[in-house]
Amino acid sequence: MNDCVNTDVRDALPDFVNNRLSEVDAATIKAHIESCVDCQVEVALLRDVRALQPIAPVMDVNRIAAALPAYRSVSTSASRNGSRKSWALAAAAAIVAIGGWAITTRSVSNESTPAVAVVAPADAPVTATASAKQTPTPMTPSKPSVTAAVKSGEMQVAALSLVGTTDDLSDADLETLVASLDGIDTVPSAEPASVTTTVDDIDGNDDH
Amino acid sequence: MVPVNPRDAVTEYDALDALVAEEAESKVRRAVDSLSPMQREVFTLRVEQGMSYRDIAEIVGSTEGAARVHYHNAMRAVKESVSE
Repeated sequence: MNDCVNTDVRDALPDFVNNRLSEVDAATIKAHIESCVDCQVEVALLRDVRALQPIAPVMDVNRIAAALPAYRSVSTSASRNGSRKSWALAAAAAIVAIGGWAITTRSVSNESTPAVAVVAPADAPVTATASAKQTPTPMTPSKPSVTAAVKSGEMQVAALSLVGTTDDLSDADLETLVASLDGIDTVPSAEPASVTTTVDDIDGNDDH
Repeated sequence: MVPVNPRDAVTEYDALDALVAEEAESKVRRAVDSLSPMQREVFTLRVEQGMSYRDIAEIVGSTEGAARVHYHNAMRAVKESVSE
């Protein structure tokens, strides 16, 4: 295949095939084509190319990659800030949880403390009371009181405490308190009855 | 007797024509595919869409003269590939 020497006509052949020439130019080109074998071959080839089914464009990956902006890592500062924030939130949540647990535990312990107590008014005689049931009793902090917790049945003093001070007690109250404390018997006073048996009491010796 | 329309008959000539046309199309397609990316882009814009060299130069980021050279080089390569 040879190329036509008339470059102007060759440049216009695609426009001629696509019907983009004016009537005058199209007539001129058409007249040339009828007398030029090389242009006839080229026009036939151009029509074959146009008749092809649309071809999927081939992507030039290198050109696309070159047009992309340079990669910049954003994970250095953003992720660090994000992790710091998450750690701060976790620490705050832990502090709140521990504080709440401590407050709850303290209030529960205050509520569950057995207050087997008898509040003794300042002008009333102070008595120590042994209580079988550990029922909470309202306390009057401003008044001195004596608390004694004793196990029921065995009548043993488990704990004896003096809540408050004795400064506010009068002499009569102190004497009553001491007398009450002395009255608590921590050691069984009654000796167990001795059991004595003789050989004659044993079964089988009825002959004697 | 049912009259047979000659246009409905499949002849050996028609089958051969289809094979030749299919082969010619395949050749042209392979020839275009073998072009460089720049040549193929310029050639496609010029032949299939009938764009001017000036518009092609703006699209591919080149000059009008360079677009013309790319087109003629592509046409020569396609001709050689098809004639082989």
